[in-house]
Amino acid sequence: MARVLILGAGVAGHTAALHLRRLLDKEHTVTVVTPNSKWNWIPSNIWVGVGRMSKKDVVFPLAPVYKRKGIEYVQAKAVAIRPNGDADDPTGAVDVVYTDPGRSGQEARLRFDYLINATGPKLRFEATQGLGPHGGHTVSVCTADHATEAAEKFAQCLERARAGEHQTVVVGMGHGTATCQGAAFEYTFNVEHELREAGVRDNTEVIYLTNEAELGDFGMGGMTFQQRGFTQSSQLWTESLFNERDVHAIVGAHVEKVEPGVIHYETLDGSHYTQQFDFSMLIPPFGGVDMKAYDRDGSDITSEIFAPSGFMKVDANYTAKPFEEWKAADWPETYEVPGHPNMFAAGIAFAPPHQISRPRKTPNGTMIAPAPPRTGMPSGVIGKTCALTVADRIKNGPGAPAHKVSLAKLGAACVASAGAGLRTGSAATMTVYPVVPDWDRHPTGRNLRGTRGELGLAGHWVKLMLHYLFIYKAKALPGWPLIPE
Amino acid sequence: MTTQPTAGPVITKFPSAPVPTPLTLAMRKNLLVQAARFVAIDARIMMMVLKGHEE
Repeated sequence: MARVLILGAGVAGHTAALHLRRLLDKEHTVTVVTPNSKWNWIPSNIWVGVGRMSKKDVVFPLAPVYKRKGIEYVQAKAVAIRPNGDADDPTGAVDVVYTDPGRSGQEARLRFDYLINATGPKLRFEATQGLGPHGGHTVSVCTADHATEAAEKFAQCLERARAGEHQTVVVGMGHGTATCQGAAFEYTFNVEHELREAGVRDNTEVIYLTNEAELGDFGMGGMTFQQRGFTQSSQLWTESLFNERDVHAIVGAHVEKVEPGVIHYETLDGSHYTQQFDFSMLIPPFGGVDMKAYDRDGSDITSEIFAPSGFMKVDANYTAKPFEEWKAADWPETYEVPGHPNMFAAGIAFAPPHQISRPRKTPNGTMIAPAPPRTGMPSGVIGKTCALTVADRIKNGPGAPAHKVSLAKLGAACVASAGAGLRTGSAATMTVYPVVPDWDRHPTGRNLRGTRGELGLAGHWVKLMLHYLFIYKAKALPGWPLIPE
Repeated sequence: MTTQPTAGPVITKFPSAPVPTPLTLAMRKNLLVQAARFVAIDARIMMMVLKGHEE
């Protein structure tokens, strides 16, 4: 009998759990440890944040799904990993603190034969003074609760605009190293769409504030599209949309602090500015969750297992080198933790070897470096890949080869909503192939046949379809394995 | 609080970016055209999923 422990029930962890339960006999246990009681389809949080959906449309309780599928569910927060066990037992273990209301604060040590760490990000609002909904002055759409609060604040902004007050809306990135530009982009255009639908667009200014050096970077170094016989940069493509919708932009910015109604930021040339706002949603930088690692004798081996960012080290090339020397081959393929073939990190939890977008520094030494995105489709695929490897090793022995998937070979689709509505909605649909550009294989870094971008109502329908499909799949309803990651 | 229109390093226009024509904007909302695009986008995503890796 093997015990598989999965930390986290987001896209990567939940996908891994469902596949492992499908692939393994009942004699083996699959246990999910997550501090949350509900699963959240995060891409639709932007619609919650403008009041088009409610929280109940994007979350569902995990316990009934896991009970039905035979997956053990522990509502707890993982605080430490012991890859080699402890003095009593050499079997690997994870220390947890329960968040389940019935046992809140109690501690336990859970043993594992295989571990998949899919803990997702820690939202580091504290990295920027005054950022975020917990005592700060901006809202967030990173969780369903945050998005619900964002919708309330946005409704107040709409009311003020209706009453004739000029409103300034600032949406974007709350730190120079933040990621998830796609979500900020989506929220910007959904807010703009709602303002227009409400008839108050002329009385508002919408500003997208970003750490990208240029629009269309999306933390992926931009893209080249081939359309109607021409190649076109994602920068021009994105700027065209900004022109069309009269959305203004601040680029290459690091937010230093937020005060009530005022954002203080530094730009790439080292200048400092302030921007007034009436309503602002800024994405925080992500970090790994605060987990420690200990050896059998209790010695701290956190730096061996985790990168300084808190993300878990896997089979990537972490050698420090200049941007020009970064290679697609640096990116991990198996997500195995070096020296621990029974431990994996999936989704946001793995430490990327380097940024995809060129990192920059201001003359004052401030880093403005969008972190690489690894959410959504890639997270699900990596979660499934780790599950396939674990299942093979349990069935065929620990020497079974690992399944492989690399962001430098894997394609991804990003459907960025630009406004909701079955007849009036629109979205920017982008496919990138691969996610991490491979300059040795492609002159533009990516396969032009698979890297496309288009705007229109159809994209909104696609995003809506994905909303229902992925919630159906996450509920593990009949036929769920047929829905791809 | 009523804010004033912005000055400073805010980019309000991108002069070199193309602006869609009224026909392009209409096509982006046309139900028949968009139904065809819906099928095309889904097909492209499925091709990527089925092909999986670029080898």
